[in-house]
Amino acid sequence: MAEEFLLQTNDLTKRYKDVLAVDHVNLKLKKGEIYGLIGRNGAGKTTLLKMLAGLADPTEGSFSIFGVSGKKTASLRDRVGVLIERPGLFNGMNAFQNMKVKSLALGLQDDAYIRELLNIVGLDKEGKRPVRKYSLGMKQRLGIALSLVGHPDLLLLDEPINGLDPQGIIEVREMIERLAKEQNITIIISSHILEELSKIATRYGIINEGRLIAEFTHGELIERCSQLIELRPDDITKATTVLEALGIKDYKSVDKRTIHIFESVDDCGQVVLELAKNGIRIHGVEVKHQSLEDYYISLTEKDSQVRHGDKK
Amino acid sequence: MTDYLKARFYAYRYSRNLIVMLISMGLWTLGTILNVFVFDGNGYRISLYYGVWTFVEFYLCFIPALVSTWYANTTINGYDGNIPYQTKDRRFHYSAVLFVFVMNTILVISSLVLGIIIYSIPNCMVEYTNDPFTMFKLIVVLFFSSYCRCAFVIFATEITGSRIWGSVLGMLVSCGFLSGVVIGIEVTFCVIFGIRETTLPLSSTTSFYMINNIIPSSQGGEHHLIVSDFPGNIWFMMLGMIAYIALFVGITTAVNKRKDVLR
Repeated sequence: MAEEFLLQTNDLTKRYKDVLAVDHVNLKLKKGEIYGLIGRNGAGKTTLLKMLAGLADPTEGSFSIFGVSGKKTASLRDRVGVLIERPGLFNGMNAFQNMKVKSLALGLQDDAYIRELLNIVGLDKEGKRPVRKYSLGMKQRLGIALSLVGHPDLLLLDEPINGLDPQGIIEVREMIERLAKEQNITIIISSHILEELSKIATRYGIINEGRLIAEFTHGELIERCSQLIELRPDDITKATTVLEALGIKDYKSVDKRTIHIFESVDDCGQVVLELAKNGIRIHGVEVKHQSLEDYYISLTEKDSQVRHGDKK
Repeated sequence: MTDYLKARFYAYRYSRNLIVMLISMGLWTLGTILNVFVFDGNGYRISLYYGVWTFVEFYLCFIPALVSTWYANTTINGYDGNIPYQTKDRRFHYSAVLFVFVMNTILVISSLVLGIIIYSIPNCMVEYTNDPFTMFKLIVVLFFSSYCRCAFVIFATEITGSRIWGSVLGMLVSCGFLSGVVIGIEVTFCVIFGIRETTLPLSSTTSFYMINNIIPSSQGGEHHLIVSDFPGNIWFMMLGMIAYIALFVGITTAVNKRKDVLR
């Protein structure tokens, strides 16, 4: 069973005094997956990735990578590439020299290999230009190139597209897709830019207040985010009562006039009919597409309400 | 560990730090040469012992602080983050301490050799009154005290989390500006714990090793700076210095490990 999952966490927890940054996270990752870790700022994404990268110690729980326990993972140093937030670089040195430092640290001497990696990230033509003169996007790409030193099988990328302009985002996204396809690298990528993540990830995990609250595949995402009924009744309180009576639980009051129903989309006419039978006037009904962002917000709001007992 | 050291040397070689270091040492050497051979020390007569001491004093005040900034270099610029699993394998962190000590060894030996060469060339300034054993004792004290300074700067850098503050504190203590404060703290420490005599381990080590000028000036050579003997038991001092280095490196490593837990 250990061979089945490339990465596995078991109740991984990180506590900073009174703050529970990561709360008993159980995560399983198969080879070749691009796992999108979604969460708002401070949700615990970076802390989780830092623990998986061995840059922070868990308070509780454990993890294994390639079947190796978290306590012995030092032997995996060249099999796991890391980019946590902004890449750490020697700004006075050029891209090649920055790469060379990590190569030497991992016991690699091949300069041609460094040039090959720089070619992959499109920085091979930068020559002696110091990193301090690079744009943010170029620095991010260099950070990804650094994470690739040592032929890693697993990449942990934390917010690699953060702060990039649209062109930079496209460049990094295409590069990640290329890496996964051509080099068969398994990737965990965290971001709060959900639409971008939805373009590359094969599986998703939503993290809220340190807890992994939902996991779904790309196929399931398409299914869940494909359709919803947007309803505008005259009396929203009465309408929700009727929906509950009909057994519809997966709905959300978006504002004082609008309800989103995420189930029974195919029975839209029946739902409207039932509401009308109960004397509710419908000002508008539309079957709409729900974005990943909407789905994410609905999940995190539900989780926060359950956790804090907020029933408003 | 060898690979990590290689990586650190490479980064050092291709950063501007080496150039800054070489320029600093070059300027100091040039000034010394002009003083000794062109201006004849402006009429001051000194012993070879004192000449080498003053030459290396610059090194002791300035260079260890500069060298030791490299302890935190990969932490401050975040390059550490590119090397995974450091909480499980702390060799990358240890290599930072080792790198500082290796660089210090290279530079303090260069500095000592340069000082001995400059002051050994016959000139009108130096009076050659020293026996080989006194010179040996001098070199041992200068050599070990450089590590004391490195250990202190590394410690200050780790505690403050800032290379600048680490260097500033290191230089201030090395130059003796803060020696009164340091000794005061240590004496207070001794009083609190009921220690009546301040011989070793802490008070006397700090007062001896953190203040560069104490040994020559204690000779009372204000007029001609002719120093012919070395006070104190050299073996006892060496032990004290080794204890001092071990203490500060130990605390630094413990603090760094604690930060990993909190990170």
